[in-house]
Amino acid sequence: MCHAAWNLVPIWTLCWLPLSPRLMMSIGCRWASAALDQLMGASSTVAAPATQRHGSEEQLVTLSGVMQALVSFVQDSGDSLRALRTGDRTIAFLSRPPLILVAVSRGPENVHQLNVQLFHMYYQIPSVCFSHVYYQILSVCFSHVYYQILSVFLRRASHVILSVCFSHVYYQILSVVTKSQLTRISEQRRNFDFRKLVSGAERFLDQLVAAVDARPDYLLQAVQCLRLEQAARDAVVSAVQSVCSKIKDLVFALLISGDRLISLVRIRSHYLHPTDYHIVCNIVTSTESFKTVEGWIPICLPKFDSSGFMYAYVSYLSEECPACLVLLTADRESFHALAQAKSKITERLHQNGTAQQIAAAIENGDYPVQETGVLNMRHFMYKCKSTAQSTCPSPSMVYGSPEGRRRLYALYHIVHGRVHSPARPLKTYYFAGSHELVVGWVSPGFELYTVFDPHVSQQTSITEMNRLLRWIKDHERRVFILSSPVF
Amino acid sequence: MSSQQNAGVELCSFFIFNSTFGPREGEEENKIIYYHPPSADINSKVKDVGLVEALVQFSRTFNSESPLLSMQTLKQKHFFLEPEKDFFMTLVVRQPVEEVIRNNSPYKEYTPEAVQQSVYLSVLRHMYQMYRLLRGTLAAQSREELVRSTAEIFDSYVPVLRLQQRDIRDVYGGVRFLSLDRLAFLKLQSFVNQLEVLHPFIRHSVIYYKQHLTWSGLGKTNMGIIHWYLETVLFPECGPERPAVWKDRTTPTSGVFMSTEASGDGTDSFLAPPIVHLRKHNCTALPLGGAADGCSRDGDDSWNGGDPVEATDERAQLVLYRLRDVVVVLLVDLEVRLTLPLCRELDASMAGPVQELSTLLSSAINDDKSSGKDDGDTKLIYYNRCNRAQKSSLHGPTAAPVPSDALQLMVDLREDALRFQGDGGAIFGRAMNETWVAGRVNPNREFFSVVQQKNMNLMDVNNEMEQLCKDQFSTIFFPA
Repeated sequence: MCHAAWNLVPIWTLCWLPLSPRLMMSIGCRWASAALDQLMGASSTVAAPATQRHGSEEQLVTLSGVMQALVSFVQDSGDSLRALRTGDRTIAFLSRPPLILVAVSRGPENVHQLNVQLFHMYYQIPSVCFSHVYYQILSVCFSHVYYQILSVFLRRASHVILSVCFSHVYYQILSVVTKSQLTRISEQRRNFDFRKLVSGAERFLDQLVAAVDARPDYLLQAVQCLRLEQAARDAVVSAVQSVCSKIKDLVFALLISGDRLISLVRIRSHYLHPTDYHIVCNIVTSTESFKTVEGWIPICLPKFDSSGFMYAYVSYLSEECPACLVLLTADRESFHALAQAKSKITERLHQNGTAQQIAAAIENGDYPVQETGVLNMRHFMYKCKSTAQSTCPSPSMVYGSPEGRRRLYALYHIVHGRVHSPARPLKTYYFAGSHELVVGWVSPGFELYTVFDPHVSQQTSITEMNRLLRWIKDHERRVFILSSPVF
Repeated sequence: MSSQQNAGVELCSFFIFNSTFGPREGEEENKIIYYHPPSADINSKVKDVGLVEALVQFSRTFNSESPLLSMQTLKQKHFFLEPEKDFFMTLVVRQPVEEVIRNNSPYKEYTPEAVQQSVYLSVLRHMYQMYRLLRGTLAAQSREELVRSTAEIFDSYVPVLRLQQRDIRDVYGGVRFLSLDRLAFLKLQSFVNQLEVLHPFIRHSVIYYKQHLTWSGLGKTNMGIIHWYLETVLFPECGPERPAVWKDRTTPTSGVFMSTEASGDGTDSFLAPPIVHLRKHNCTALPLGGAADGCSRDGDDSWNGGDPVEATDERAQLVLYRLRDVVVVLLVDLEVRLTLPLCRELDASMAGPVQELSTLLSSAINDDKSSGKDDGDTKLIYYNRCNRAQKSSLHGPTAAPVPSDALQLMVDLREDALRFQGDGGAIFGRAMNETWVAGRVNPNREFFSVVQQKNMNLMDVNNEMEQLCKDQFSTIFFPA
């Protein structure tokens, strides 16, 4: 199937074997199956390979064929398909040619919220495609003609191969995976099978599906910080600033633990959007190999610049301190410099005891709601609007089980969906049932969602929420990052 | 945020089809039973039907039990109902457009939230019920008969659907009752008994006073359907030709007999009122005091999902008689020919008592109004599922209308309350413009109010709610 007329380098044809004319269907298929994790609805918090869980590939091909047909049929009449609702499911469609993203949910999300989730997926695509393609090409390189050339570099250091390989195929790859070029390639080569591009990248998407399903910070579009003393945070910032200030083209330096932000140092005049932050976190946490070896990956932050890539240096600090340092740069040659910077930062943090403090904070995890001293409250989510940061306690006993947790987030989804309804947003939302009392409160400065024991009076719930706001104010230095340091 | 938000809601099309009527390629046209607007070309009709068929198939891959309810596109919303096996009714509604300023330039945005699923699905269900009331089940007729009968019903009805005015009342589909004191009630009952004894061919009778139901001999499902039908075609004086009035040209009678259907052409010698199809299982009213049984979903299923298809409906002639503000609805045996002498006889036995009742009822309705004082800032709607009673001050003739935002929010909150937990609870929402919508939902009763005073907090609204409940429904217990 090698088309000589394309005049491409051998690597290229090896990677992009043109497949059957099922083309667009299979694109739909791939993405459908990723998003179909939601097919099983609220019970789908654990990600498993989509194809196994949701029937054979043949079925998926048929299904995605139908979806493709539906979307283009509606498109023909000058309209665009957004959603279907059945008695127990909501099926949302997001059409971003050449991709069609479909979410099938049995959960509490409304169409708008499902669309936001699909956008999360969509934003992740350039990064996952790219980083994945990248590894795939490497393996191809090793086993074929390029082995000879590459092995020369192999002897030096792994990252060098990466960057060399990178410069080799940079333009070709870029033409596939940035947003604009993705469109072009699919138009030029109708029978291009995108699954090649993303097979193996399922873990990113699976992880993302699980996260958008069950993590409050995705719902709130906010960043959750690790609870830490202000002094420790300042120590991290000053370590990063002193080491990194001389490195050119460094855009962001983040220290994270899982999805919790420990500190962020940014370039002047640029901010890290929560969506971009979630993409970084998702890639870091779903790549096991970073735990053992430092990594260097291209990454696309769509809110920062959807047409280009940045390069991320990813490395966990040390055995003792499981925080992960992510340095985002525009300079593709700076791996060495960043690796050196990382070891300096690690050394400094260990010397002044900050690393130990961070490790202890990670060990402690989330605080229980009782620590706030608020009575009868089961759980809350708080978002500070100006900094897009959120905080919430660990789910209490009532919502400790997986079903309990799903119910809790289902409640939040309903309230959040209504409070942020595009046509009829609300300031206050209050529901008192026999199982719980749910309150949503949006003010110019913050959003607060709380769940109380049932039969708590309105007066009490309001008093207790005010008490909670005072607690948050008192503890804001620990639960939030108040400063926004630059290099 | 404009109060005229759903002003742009517009009917795009309405169609009924059955896929089994044209199973082979080239016969797709035969699937279509009814299509509005009739001016659409056949290709687009077939395409629309094809799309719905595909959507139904597609949605069945996920759960074959759960029906497809709606489709949302950028510009439209489609609502689907399969009232009988293989028969699909589709209502396509255009979403209103709002001008918004984005990046300093005006930008048109569709507002899907203004077209609420539960409201328009109810409209669709009512349309089916009205068809079935007048023509019987779809499955019982051949394709040719269906094409004719659906055109007869829907051609005149679809243009007057008034989709912009649909709101929570359509979801409830309730009936306004007029509560009577003992004397009035006994007078009414003795009148009805007397009438039915005198004319044994009267199977059921229903009496309205100024659009308030005062007496019903029908079960609640049938009553609900007939009420909605009358409310649509009779009360608002909507149709240009209807209601047709039959006049006895020789001897003037005191009241008038009316027809709601143009098809029921009366000649000089006898009247031919429309024939209605009543649900058999729900023909008679519950005995008085038997309300405990009334909460069962028996016979009420048609309002909460698909209609059960019964082999036969009970058929009767629908005779309407109006005198002053009283409308007497008589359901008469099919065999009886309503000749002029018979009409005169009916008139003679009704005119006197009805005039007397009218005076009695007018004082009753005044009492009713004075107890439900119209507070300018607070509007409410109450619905009781057990007896379909509905009380509403949302659309008072005098007071300023409730903004459509608040009406829509009411539907939203009702949906939420039932989603949080099946048995509902108390729910409050404050919009950006400080309007509060508060409600209590439980399996048998629902109550919503709109409070439009400035600077109210949650507790104030709750107190207001409690006060309202005390004033209006002192005898009704609301948990939580």
